[in-house]
Amino acid sequence: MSNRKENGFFSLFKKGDLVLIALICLLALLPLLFFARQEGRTAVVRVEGKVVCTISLEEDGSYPIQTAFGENLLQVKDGGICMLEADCPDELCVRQGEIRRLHETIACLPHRLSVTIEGGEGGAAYDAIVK
Amino acid sequence: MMRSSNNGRFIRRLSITALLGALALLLSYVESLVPLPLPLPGVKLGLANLAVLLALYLFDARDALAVLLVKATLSSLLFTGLGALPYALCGGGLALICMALLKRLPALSILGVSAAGAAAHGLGQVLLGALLTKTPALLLYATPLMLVGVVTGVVLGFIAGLCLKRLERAMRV
Repeated sequence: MSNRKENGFFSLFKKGDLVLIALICLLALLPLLFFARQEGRTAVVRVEGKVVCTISLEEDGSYPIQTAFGENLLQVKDGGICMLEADCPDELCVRQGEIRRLHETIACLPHRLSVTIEGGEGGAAYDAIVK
Repeated sequence: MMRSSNNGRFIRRLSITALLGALALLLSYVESLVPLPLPLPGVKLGLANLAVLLALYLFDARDALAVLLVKATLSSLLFTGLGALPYALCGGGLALICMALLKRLPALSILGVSAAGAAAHGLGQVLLGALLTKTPALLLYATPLMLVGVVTGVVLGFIAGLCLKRLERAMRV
């Protein structure tokens, strides 16, 4: 009967496939266990792993970041931060939108730049240091 | 006589692998035309992995590696920029290693192998990104990338299975 044909897609799965897919899903969820998800109060900007500036998320504002790799414009609004503009070729960092929770990260890979939300003391001593 | 038939087989394999390399490049171009409306960077269909899968199943891991290298090098020169090359190689390389190893397990079909490859592709890129920016928190992006990869990988594996059935028939002639 045509029954077998209708189930064609699912009958192709072997048991091992399902076990493997379950394992991958578990592995995929692993990072969530290690990184807590509260909101943070500062954003730390790094280029090639070195901190170039720390931005408080408690006051709105925009922060241009200029590095040897190119230019990025960060914007803080209502406790979140997003990449407003970037002159990298793919602009994936801009598409990523706003982040506000601890350990959330915007990465601009072409510019080796990352913005990570950290706890901090609200960046008490300074709003920003831009190199 | 023996030697010439071996030669013929080698030339055939070389040409088909080269064709698959061209197919991979074409597919990555097609993919660049249809950006997914998702706010997640790096999420894509991974269409080009179809050619790598076909090379792996028609021949072996060496042919698949050749397809991967051709695709990664040319598509980064033509479409994505050289900055993307390390990510393409790292993701694609990890995917290929996983697929070549898992293919040996008789308990798995091409669906599972392809799903694992797609998930490994995302994981490889995130790992390299986390290393280069020295930001371990970037690993959080492995979660959505791998979950999406499982879905796209299964679908792609299904398509590859359909192609293989026809290709094997055509190549027997």
